[in-house]
Amino acid sequence: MSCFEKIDEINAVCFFPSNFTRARRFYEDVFGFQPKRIQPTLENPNFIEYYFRGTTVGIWERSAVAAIMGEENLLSEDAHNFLTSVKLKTPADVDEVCEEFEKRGVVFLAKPKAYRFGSYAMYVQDCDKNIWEFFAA
Amino acid sequence: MSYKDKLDNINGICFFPRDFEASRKFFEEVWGFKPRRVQPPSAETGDAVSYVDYAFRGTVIALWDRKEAGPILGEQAISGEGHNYMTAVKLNKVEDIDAVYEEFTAKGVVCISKPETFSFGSRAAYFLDNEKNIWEFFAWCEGGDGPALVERGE
Repeated sequence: MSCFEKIDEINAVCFFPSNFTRARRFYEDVFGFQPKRIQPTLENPNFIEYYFRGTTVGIWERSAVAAIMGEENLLSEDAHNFLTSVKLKTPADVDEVCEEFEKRGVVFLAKPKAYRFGSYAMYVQDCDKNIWEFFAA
Repeated sequence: MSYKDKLDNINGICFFPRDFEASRKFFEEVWGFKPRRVQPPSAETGDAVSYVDYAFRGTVIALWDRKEAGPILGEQAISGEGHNYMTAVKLNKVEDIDAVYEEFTAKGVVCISKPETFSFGSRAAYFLDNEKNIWEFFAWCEGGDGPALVERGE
């Protein structure tokens, strides 16, 4: 089975806004998106995911992203900053995809790891340095 | 009815790669993605394929050649060293695009390309969010899942 067959869905496109609170106001007040998930706390979030049928849109505070993927991999605040998130079925699938990507020379920002926000994830770059997350719950 | 009720799903995440062919090779040969839709070459695109999207359950990943996207979105919106992409949202009817355009412009949302019916089979409008990320709101003119679908091989 190739790693492609392990991919369940494109889970989310995730923005890394220069101003998290301002972006939240824009998506909720102007675009009218409804929050689906707020982490780590309702009072002081650094991640919000908005509901759509299927793939979701998320915003993730840059300092929290930098702590995982490295500040140097976030482009300037004027750039389009985001991540594409791909869901796999099991943590073992994440490890298998990791092994296959290593053989294929894919650039890793973070190897598979269990995070406190509830996922087992790895972070890689594509050929244009766009960031991709491959994770399982 | 608010425009939100017209939104169907996040249809695709679309990259505007600096080298379209290199990206196509990367996604197909390194990551093993299978094309779902390949828009046929045309005189407008210099007789080259300029758009490919890859199948997933639900939302797709797409590549759109800057040579074709630039004149539609404006070169300044997709050039430079940033991560280049857009989020595409599908609506059910072509008239919904115009309704969204009216509602967004009334709220002061920046529109970089007004509603237009394109030769690739959709009616679409393009907007910037507060950080100048590009969003496409579109509907297929003929409904359904749109043109140029590729038969899925085993």
